[in-house]
Amino acid sequence: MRSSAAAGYLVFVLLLTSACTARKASTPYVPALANASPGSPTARGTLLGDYQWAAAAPSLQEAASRWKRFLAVHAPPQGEYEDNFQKLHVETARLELLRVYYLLGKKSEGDALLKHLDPSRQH
Amino acid sequence: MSATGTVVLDPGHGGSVNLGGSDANHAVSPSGVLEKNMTLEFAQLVQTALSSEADVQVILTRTGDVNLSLAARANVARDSGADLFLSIHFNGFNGSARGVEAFVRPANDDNFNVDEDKEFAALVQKGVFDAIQARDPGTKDRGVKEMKLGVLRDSSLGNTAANHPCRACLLEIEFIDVPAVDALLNTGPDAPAVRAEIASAIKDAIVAALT
Repeated sequence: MRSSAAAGYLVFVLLLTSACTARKASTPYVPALANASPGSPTARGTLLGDYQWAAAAPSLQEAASRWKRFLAVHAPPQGEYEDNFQKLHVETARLELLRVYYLLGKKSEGDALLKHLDPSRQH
Repeated sequence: MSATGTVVLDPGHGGSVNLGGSDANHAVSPSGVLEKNMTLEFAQLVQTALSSEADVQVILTRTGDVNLSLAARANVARDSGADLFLSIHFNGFNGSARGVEAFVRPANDDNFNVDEDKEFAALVQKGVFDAIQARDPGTKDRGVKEMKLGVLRDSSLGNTAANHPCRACLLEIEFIDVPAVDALLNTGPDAPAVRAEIASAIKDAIVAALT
């Protein structure tokens, strides 16, 4: 009887945790750093257009997905940039993704990205 | 003593496709002016300003709306035996950040003459900052910084440890996503005069570097 009650309580806690996580994932996303520049939206496929698209993500979960996609396309290999515009946007995207990971409770993903941002690893 | 030598001006971006690390365009002004068009216009203005210098040869990496890879741009300096290589860009970020800055490649990463690069970059950056500040005190002196930039690889510019004649830097003239900068450089009544003054400042820096 007692073990049955404990199992029921455990299921209740798991369901509650699951529900909370789902709510967090759908929480509206408001960028902390990636404020849009004045002017018209730029076409997707360009660095600026993809940045605006990621910054306009409707939820935390979608923001994580969009910032990851942005970095996969626009972060240069071996950290060799074309100009400071690219560096500013790529570094801001990494900070936004880091923040979103922690807000979503994805500690391991956040910590992995944080290590990538370690200043001692950079020139 | 008159200025003597060859300078390669590199208008950043161009065309409609991304190529070898060079994106077709990055910054866009609030009025819709594209960075790639501004870089080309400024390079041509500097070229015109330098036409009074008989012993200075000026080469542009592109003269139309086309893109070149970052290596191809630097190779123009290598193939012409250039003394100076200046890549011209405009910045953009959050609609409020301002300033003039120049970049050189770090010494520990394919750059054999970082100190000479920094001297050249400082001449250009200070000249452009002073020209803009005379018109708009809202600008900011961001100085000269090091960054691992693909267009500034010494191996592509033709510099080696034993022989490194080409000094190189990348100039970010201003943040064109700021409405005040857009008015200053593009839409305001004095914009043509301001562009000419900035081009003249770059010309003066190049002449000083080659004298």
